[in-house]
Amino acid sequence: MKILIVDDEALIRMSLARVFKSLGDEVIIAEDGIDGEKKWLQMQPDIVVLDVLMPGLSGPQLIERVQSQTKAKIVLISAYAADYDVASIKQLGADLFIAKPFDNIFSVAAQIKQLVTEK
Amino acid sequence: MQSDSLQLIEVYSTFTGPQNKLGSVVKAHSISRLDEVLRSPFTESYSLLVVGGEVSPLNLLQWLQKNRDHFRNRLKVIYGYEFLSKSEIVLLSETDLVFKVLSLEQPVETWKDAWFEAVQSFSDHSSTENIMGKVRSQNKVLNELNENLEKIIEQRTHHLEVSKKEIEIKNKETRDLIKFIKSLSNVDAFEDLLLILRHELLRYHKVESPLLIYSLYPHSYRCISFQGPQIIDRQVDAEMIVPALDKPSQLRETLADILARPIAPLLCVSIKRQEHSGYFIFEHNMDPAEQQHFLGVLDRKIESLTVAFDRLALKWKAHQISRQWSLTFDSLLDPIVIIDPQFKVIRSNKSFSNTTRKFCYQSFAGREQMCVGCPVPQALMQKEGYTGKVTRGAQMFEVHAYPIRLNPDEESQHMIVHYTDVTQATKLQGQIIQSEKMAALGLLAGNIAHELNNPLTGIKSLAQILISEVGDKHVSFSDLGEIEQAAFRSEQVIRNLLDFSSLHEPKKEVISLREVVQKTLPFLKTTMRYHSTAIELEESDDYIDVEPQLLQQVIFNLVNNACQAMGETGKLTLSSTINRDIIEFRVTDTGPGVPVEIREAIFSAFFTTKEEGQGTGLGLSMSRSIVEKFGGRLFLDETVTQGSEFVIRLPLVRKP
Repeated sequence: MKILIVDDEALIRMSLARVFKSLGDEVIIAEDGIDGEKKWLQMQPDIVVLDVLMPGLSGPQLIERVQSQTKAKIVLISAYAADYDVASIKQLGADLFIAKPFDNIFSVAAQIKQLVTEK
Repeated sequence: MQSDSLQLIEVYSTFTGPQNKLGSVVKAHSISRLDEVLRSPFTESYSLLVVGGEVSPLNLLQWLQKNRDHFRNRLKVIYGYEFLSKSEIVLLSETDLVFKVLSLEQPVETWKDAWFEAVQSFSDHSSTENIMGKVRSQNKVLNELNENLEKIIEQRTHHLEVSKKEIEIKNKETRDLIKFIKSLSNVDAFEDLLLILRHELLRYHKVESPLLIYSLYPHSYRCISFQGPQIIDRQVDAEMIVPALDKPSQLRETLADILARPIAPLLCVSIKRQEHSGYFIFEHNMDPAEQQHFLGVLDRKIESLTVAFDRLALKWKAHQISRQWSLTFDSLLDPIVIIDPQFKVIRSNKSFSNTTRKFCYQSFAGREQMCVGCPVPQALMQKEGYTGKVTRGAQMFEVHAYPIRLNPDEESQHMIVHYTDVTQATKLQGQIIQSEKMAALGLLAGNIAHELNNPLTGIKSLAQILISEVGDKHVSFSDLGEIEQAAFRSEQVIRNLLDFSSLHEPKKEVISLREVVQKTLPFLKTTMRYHSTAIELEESDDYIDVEPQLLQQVIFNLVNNACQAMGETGKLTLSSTINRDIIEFRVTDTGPGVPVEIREAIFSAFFTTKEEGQGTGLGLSMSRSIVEKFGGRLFLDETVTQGSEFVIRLPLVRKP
């Protein structure tokens, strides 16, 4: 499975990349929205894990720009959990929302991969 | 004139008589002529016979002796003795033959007297018994007169004595009245007035001790009465007494109601003025005559009573007015002082100072010179009000000085100086700034929390991955576990901080009190670090319907207060108890407790005992309104004497 991780927080990128790699997935990393857009279009990942608040281009803005050119499942992650619910997530074009901080990185990874395997 | 003939000299007017012709004078010059006269009709009545010429006095006497019988009972006077002197005659009375020599030249009056004398002596001699009788009767008259005189003297003496007694009585009455007036002039209270009147009327056994109903200002009536030796002064309902005072028939009944005892018939004497009135009321059992007498006695005293009553009423009013003013002056919470231009205190109210020293700055601030910022010199100079600011210890006052003229003739100006304590206002201003800072800080805390969440998520996740990768045999395994745990704790702190700073929309939810307390405690770790803590929370279901973040704030406040009250050492106890459908959560400390006088004040907004910067003074008042919002109560348990114990009482709800 090809997974793109877009987050400006290095430790989160690192940990997500590590857990997916350990599960045998191909991981692509981007440090911000601009870089993310480029890699997204170029690599066409199966899943994109996207931080909401990033310098340059925010997660929702990025979705808007690439939406028509991707089939990837989109996962939004944010510390401002209270701002989002299922309906607003769908509206933003995402498939899943995960609040930071994570309780357990492995269960988060499993939850994300389910988006594809469920199909 | 030589003539034998009888000459009649009519002397009517001289010798008065019924026919004006009784007296006649015969002049005879010889004895033979006298004999002739004896036969004449003239001798039938009293006559004066004047003889002269050849008839000497001796001859005449002899003749008279010889004809004595003929002359008896008549008068016969009679001799004009020409040879002695032609103008002289001799009068003689036939009884004692006394001669009297009269001159013809002498006036008629003298003749008349001589005539009557002669008549008198004739009548006297003619009846001695008659004279004796007269003497006796005169004696009798004299005796009677004597007796009358004695009686009169006796009466006079008696009258004198009586009037002397009357004067004494009058004097005594006057003295008594003066004494009464004197005693009234010393009277200081209405009770004394009544006491004196009672004493004055003691001898009237049919009159009871007097009553006084008086009114010093409209619609307020008082009644002073005796109850045995005691005097009772009571307020009387004006609506009840006023109609009765106007209608004497009703008064007796009304008084019986007021004094709660039967009342005898009444006499009432009233003093009415525009502003005040008094009614002296006497119970009695006198008959109408006695009443009349008694009223007379009263009448003499009523004027003095009125004067004394008026004096008391005016004195009372003056006193009342001055009392009202000084009360008003004293009860003002702001300090006020009247000073002279040299800062000498003329008068001050209670708030101004509890010491009385000469100068205002000494009394007010305990200084030895004028307060810095005092507006008085400026006000004196400009002759108008001026405002300044002075301090006393930690207190800050706004001071308004106004020039006044106590005495219209006075040159120098006095000052009325009014102080307003602006310490609180200044403090509040500081607190408002402080709370704005706090709000900003809360917002900031929210942002920081979010910023921290990102790296924390990374740290924790990475630690979890590393733990799974290295396995439990690896040297780093336990260290990685520590990292994960530390990250987890940090996460908890941040989550709570977010909840606590209410950045999330607070929502009511059914939650266990235990949970709320446990969520709050981590924030208080620093606060409670010096104190031993006991937590005794009810184990059974303790669900309440609250906004957890708000309740957390309340608990945080209470624990924070308790720890600050205890200072460095002490024991903090958090406990909860359930009683039917009520749960009580108690925060107990071993500090000095809350002083009685501020127990209510601590729940009002901006009340604080803490120094600036340590508290906003919003804690307890906000906490109380929060708990009340949840249908509960927050209070201080006043039965606790050691330390203090705050109680949150909330209704229990069913488990969700």
